[in-house]
Amino acid sequence: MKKNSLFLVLFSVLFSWVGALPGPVLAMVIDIPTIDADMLKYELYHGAPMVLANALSPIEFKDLTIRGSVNIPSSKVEGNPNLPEDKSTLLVFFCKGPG
Amino acid sequence: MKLYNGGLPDWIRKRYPVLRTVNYPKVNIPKVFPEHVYKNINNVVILDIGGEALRRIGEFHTGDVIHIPLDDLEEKYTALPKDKKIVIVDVMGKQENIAGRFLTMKGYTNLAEMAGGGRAWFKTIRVNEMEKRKTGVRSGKAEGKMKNK
Repeated sequence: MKKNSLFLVLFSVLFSWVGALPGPVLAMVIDIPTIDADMLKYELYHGAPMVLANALSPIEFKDLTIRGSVNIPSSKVEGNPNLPEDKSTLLVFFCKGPG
Repeated sequence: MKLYNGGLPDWIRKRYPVLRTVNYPKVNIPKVFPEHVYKNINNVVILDIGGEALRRIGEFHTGDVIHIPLDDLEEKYTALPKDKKIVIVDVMGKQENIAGRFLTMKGYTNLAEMAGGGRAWFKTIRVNEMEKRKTGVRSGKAEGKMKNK
């Protein structure tokens, strides 16, 4: 019973867009595909429309970010105006990386 | 949805284009040891920028603490006093510096970073409280012996 409830909670969160969880947290739960720097650079500057989201705080975002990214802090994902309206748009999250 | 696991450090290493919209002053915020903060707890304000992540590893029940997650600091920093030393704490001590640089830009000059971050701070609280309890038990026993005599 408990297992079923847990599954339902996870299922509803994972499939309601990004829900209240940031990308890095979701990645621990399911396998989210990754993208490397070279491919990201190509997609960002030459590819189809995409949203590149910096999941750090607004202060860190203003200090330094990838040119062309928007700020979607990990604690403010839900309802963030920087999320793409079209849910089929590629959304790529990044932060300070491992370590 | 995809994740760029390499993140900002990887992007910078490759010398790909970055953008800086605010130049926070490059200042060295001094680090203070948790033990020193504990001994001077009445003279400092602890700024907890760790939010939920920090709350998961311990409780701030010692001293004057203001909770403003780094994500909200830009909007809420005016709640901080300017007449007291502010000791900034996050989970591992990695985001304290950028918070300090931001506050310096906003005119705060009496700042410090908690060495070792929240983990070190909570450990210091635990150790000192344990020590106090032991001392209390010892003095209680001593009082008991005095009464018996």
